[in-house]
Amino acid sequence: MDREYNHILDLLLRSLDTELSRTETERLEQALQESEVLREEKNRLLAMREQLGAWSASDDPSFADRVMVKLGKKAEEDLSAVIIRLFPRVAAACVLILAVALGTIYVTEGSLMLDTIIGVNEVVLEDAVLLVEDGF
Amino acid sequence: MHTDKDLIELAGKGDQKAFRLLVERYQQQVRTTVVGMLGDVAEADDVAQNVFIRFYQSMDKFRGEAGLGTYLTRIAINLSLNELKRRQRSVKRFLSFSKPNRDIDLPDRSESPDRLDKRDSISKALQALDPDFRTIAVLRLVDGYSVKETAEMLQLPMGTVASRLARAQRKLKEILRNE
Repeated sequence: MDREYNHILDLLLRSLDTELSRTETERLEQALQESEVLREEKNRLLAMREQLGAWSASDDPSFADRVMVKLGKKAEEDLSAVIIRLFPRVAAACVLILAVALGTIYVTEGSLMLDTIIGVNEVVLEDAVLLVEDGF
Repeated sequence: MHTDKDLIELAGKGDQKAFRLLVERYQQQVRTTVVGMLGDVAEADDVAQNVFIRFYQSMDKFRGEAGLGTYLTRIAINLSLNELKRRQRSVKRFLSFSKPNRDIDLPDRSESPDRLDKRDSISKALQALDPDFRTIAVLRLVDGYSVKETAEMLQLPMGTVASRLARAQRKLKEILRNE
């Protein structure tokens, strides 16, 4: 009896969401006609589904504000993360450029003295006077 | 009145007001899904916010094949399931599972006590379901998606969704009867 009732109850539950076969529909309809208990069960199920369908989270008027604040913070964090992530690469590139520049100076000038690096190793005092006279 | 598509386009160009309008339009739907999955707790508020943040970050991937509500619901379900997994990993967190959030997510006290009780009992009944069953119950019975849409969203066969739904309803009925 319990097994039969469970089977019919299963049909009843499925009938609320999916289409039953013709045989199943006939069987369920017959059972509903014959059983008051099953009809009550159906009503309870429908009432429960109505309650669930009408259920929603409580109102929260400040939710959108919090999302926008979080979005702003997230954008800042993302920017910081990009900078932090790129920093080693940028630093490595700078070191490489510097090394290449110093290497080139050393190869062409044969020295890494400060005057050589800034390009005034061949400037003599007379050149400076001439530059001043030319109005530079 | 702007359509979702218009607002997404504007938001994609950096218009924050347009994005805010989208949040306001879908916040209730997203929050209902998340609170249905996680209960009325602080984490639910975080997860609901993260749904919109995640959407903002991947707005260019939204092609509009499904409605925006469905797209956001899918993100909400995925993030809620991740949160449930995180809870399971943390026993301490798990213990605070049903602790109501008193700082952020206070229910609207202007509602009648009966309505609050009913809301609370439904939320508790949903939380009593296993996550696999809860997901289906929330999508089908609370959010109102069809069995087919639920199956597509969860990438499950329709038969599996229907049988889990039947079992979920039996359990919900039992719990709510005892409330």
